[in-house]
Amino acid sequence: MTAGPVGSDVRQRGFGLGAAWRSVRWLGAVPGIEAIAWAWIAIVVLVAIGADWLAPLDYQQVDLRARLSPPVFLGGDWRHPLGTDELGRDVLSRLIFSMRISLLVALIGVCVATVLGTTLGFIAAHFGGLVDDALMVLVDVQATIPFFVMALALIAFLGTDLYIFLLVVGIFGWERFARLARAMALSAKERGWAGAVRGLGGGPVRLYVRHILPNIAGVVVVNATLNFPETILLESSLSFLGLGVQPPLTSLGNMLGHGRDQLVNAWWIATVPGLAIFLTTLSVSIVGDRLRDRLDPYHQ
Amino acid sequence: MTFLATKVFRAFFSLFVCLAIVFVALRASGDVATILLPEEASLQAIEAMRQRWGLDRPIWEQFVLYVGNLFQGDFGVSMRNGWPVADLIAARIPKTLALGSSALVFALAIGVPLGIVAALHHGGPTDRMVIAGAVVGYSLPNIFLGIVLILVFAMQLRYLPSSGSDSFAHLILPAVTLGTSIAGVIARFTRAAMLDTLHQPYMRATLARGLPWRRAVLREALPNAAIPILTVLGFIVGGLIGGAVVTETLFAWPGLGQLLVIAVGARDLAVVQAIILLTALSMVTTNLTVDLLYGVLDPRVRQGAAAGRSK
Repeated sequence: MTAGPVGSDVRQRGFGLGAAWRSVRWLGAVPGIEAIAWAWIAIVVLVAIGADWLAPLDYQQVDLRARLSPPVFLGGDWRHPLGTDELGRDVLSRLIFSMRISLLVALIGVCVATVLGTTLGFIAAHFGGLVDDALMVLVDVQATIPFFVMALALIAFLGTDLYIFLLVVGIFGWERFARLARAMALSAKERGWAGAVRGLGGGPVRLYVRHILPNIAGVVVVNATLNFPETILLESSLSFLGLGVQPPLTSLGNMLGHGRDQLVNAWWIATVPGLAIFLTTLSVSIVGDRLRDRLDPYHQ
Repeated sequence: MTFLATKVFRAFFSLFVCLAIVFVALRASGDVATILLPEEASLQAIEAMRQRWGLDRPIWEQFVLYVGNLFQGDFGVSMRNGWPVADLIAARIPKTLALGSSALVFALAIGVPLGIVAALHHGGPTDRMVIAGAVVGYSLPNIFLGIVLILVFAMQLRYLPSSGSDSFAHLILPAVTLGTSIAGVIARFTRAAMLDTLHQPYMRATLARGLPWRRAVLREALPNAAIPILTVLGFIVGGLIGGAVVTETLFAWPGLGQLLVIAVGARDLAVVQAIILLTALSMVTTNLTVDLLYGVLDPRVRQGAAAGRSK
């Protein structure tokens, strides 16, 4: 490769696992910021789990007589603390269920990407040769097209079904995990204990799943956490365009998309879920960064 | 020379793989003839259509034909309205270029000075503020920022229009929306690169020669810092393309991103594949340009490649 003294190293930091541009470590200088981030994450998770009990009303219930009623702090009544949308549906209830769906989609997406990418990385490391080359070409091609555009293309070819959407979100970021798992498996194979496992009669599956995976789990978890905010953004952007989560289900991006058309009459419908997306992605980034400092020995 | 050749070969190879994947996906997703023609079309009509598109020939011949057509600027016709895809796209390219380049100019105009100022005040409160601002800017989702900007500047203050593309004023809000997160990235990278160069011996030598501090920073440190900043250009262009889709839709900006969303909604695969190929082409060109510029700006890269070969 064309490894230059300056270039190659900046490049690896920019596009590899280190990904300096995704780092928010500097916000850590603000006192208490990590505690605030954890608190917000805790709130979001609790809201997502307890959505059925927390939501004051059915989030799909239409009430045409109470359309676009304002939130309490703008003179609305307590029946709809955050007001209602253009069909008279309770914004607070929709927000609560949107958080659940957005979080769930992102969680599934990150899990799929982690498993898919790590498996492919191991396969590349194990077989080497042509298999390795082919997978690395795929990684290169994936890096060639911005994922958002590719996601749109996949949806155009495959449709807007919920399972297809989960699959599309699940593909996002696989190449980062693949590159990571491949590099770490290759370096692990050079150590003595990998040879010892093979010598004692352990098959390749046993070697990778029982021995190499636990060794790199910390780094993989850190990478997954750092992928999480971008996955939320992917979900909400696609849903915002009407190509993600489909009604009657709702997600944060979905609410934003509908709220955009009501900005003149009811600005709160779009801004409340927008703020929720922003705070959630920022909090997870801050926490993920701290996790990396603790769990990733390869990151200085 | 080999440095250049490998880079060019790799670029063309990824483009080719991309092309092949798109072609296979396109063919696997159904017969163009039955999609385009009405359901009650006669068998002869379908057969004539298939012949016209070469669908009756072996798959590798179809691929050659497909690539040949692409090279002649023929991307097929829109499955939605039968217009040539090349015309549809050509009409929208200037709009997207205008938006993308103004967003980039905005990001550079904000990010580079902030990064320099932060590096010069390394560790101080100014530095912290710039960094925090860069992080918040980078983390702001386009959809949220765009909606807040529309609310404040278009609806409350009524300074700027919120949709359309008739005048320069229409360009401001979408360009700021698209450019803000990139400004955050640029500010952070400029800061890091400046910190690296400010501590180099040649800076001390420059100052020892008696050059004023301001001149030394702008003439010596900044050009050297520009090289690492250049590496993120590929990432930045990718971010611009991805972000343009949402931003153009939000502000009703009639560019390629908006066309892509419309085409995906209508499952107009001919338009989608053309935009994908165009995206891949611009990404590959950008990365190739960065690599070549890199070799020009930093001779060590070329020498490093040569040394790697001789080993």
